[in-house]
Amino acid sequence: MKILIIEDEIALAESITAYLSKEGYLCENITSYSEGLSKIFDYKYDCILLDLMLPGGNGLELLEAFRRENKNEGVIIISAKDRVEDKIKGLQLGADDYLSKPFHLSELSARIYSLMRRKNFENTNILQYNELQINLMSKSVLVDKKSIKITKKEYQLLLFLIGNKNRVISKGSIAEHLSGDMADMLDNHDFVYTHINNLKKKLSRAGGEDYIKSIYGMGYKWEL
Amino acid sequence: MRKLATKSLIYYSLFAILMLGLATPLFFWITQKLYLDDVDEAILLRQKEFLTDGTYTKLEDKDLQKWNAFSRDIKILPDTVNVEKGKIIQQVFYDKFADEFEPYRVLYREITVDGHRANLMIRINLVESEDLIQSILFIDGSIVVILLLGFVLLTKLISDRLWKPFNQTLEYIAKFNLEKGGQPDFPTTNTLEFDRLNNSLNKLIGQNLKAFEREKEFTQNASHELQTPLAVIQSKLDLFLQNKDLTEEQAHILQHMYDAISRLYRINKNLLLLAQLEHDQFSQNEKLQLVSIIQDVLPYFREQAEEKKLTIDIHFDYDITIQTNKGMFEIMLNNLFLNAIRHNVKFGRITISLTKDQLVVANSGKTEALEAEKLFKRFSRSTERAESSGLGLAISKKIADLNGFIISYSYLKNEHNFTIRF
Repeated sequence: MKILIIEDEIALAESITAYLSKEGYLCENITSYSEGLSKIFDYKYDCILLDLMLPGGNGLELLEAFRRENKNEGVIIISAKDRVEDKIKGLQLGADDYLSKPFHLSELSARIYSLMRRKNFENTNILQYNELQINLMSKSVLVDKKSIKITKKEYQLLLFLIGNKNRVISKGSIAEHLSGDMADMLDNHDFVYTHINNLKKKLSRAGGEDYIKSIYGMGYKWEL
Repeated sequence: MRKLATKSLIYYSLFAILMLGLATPLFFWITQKLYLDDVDEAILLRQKEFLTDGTYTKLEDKDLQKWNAFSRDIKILPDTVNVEKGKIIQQVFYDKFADEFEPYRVLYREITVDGHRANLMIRINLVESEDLIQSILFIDGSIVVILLLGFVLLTKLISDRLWKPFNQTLEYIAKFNLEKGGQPDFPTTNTLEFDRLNNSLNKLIGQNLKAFEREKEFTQNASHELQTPLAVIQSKLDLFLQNKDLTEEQAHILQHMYDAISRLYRINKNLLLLAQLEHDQFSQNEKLQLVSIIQDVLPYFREQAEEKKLTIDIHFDYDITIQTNKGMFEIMLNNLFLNAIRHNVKFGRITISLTKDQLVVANSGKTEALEAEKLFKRFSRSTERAESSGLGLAISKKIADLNGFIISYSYLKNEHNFTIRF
């Protein structure tokens, strides 16, 4: 899978590239408006990460031009602008998602994962990992074909972990992922431990393997 | 406090009364001197007439009684008068008809009548001093009254008309609000000083508005600029965490870095939010039902409250409908609820009650009242809780102010109460 990162902050683009390549993505980074303009029309990508304030022009104009050409690659805006109005504008212009800086790489990865799933709808809505089966439509989880009762938060947590499989995600990023709009205000991330614990218990009780590894209690990893 | 016009009126009046008070004796003395001089002159004139005419030389002793009977003020008396001669003096004589003593200017001199020495007496009746004083006092009094009346009228006229532009300017300034902005439009005036005042004020306000604007923009720009380096650090931490050989010690250090950056991010975000609030960037209003808004966010707080095993009591006696921006209002609520959790003690309690016109969030916590006046200021946290951004209550206050709600703090029955009156 090919991902184009249009971001002028090279250090950030490098981090994204490093993180995503562990998942097997091929990342290409460009840093300006004009470069972006030529790249997106000449090549085909699976996903484009788009910064808005670029040297030489606004990312939104790039997005507009792109959508005018009926190009339907997934676009995720990554911007320091975080007002609701900015988000709405970006989504109206055809972005698939909007992530405001600073963000956790795990969050970005989960968003790309979910975007890819939505885009490639020829794939089934069922995710299968060994004995574990997740139905994305009905939002249900089966272990050895037996349905297990899982809360909304635990389901979100599970998808987040899987979306970042084989990578360590910090407690803070999980907390933010689970609290949505409230994330900015929370200063206590201890509730993550409770959710992780409950999820682990439910999966193992149903006979599932323990895929969730704790990294000294400060991060977690879904190991496959 | 007295009005400026009243104060100057008092000084003018005091001065007028003082001047007239001092002038009255002087006036009396001068009037009397002029009068006496005039009377004395008349006496001398009459003496000259009498002597030049010379009729008296033909008089005989037997005629004197008749002369004196008919001449009221020029008398020829025997040489028994024992006063200084040739000099006008003041004497009183009894007036039979008026039955009182009257003052006279009198001149005695020696003449020869019928071959022997006699005394000529010339006198002129004076107006009594009391009468003179009375008249003068009456005139003086009238002048004082007219002057004071004039002062009062003039002062009123001055304060009404001349000071009108000044008063208008004052009203404009009193209404002026730096945060709301808008250069006040002072009325034009043709008084030099007021025109200067208005111009100076306009300049001053203009500069202040600009400085305020710059400060707001600065905060906003600075916050925005900080987002990108924060994003870089955050992403590097996320990458570092992937290191397979991560030791526990390193993980511990990493956790502290995560915590610090998360706090930095929250401070930055809140600063930006404050700047946006000051820019009035939350204009879209909608009707909100308080009960449902609170119920929507409660699950998050129950989750947060779990760790401290807090009891949350809800009392919805009324449902209040308000017209405001939903996002902004939720920020205020979230801040209050989170504070109630953050500053609580283990197994403590939180009571959220909604009455007819107010929402009260009460929580147990430190068993002493907080400093109410510092509480709502930026970065004036009363506890040393490192996690808080120190801006939550300042933001809540700002939002309450923008909406015309009143937010207040009180410490009752060992509980910290935050009240929003709608």
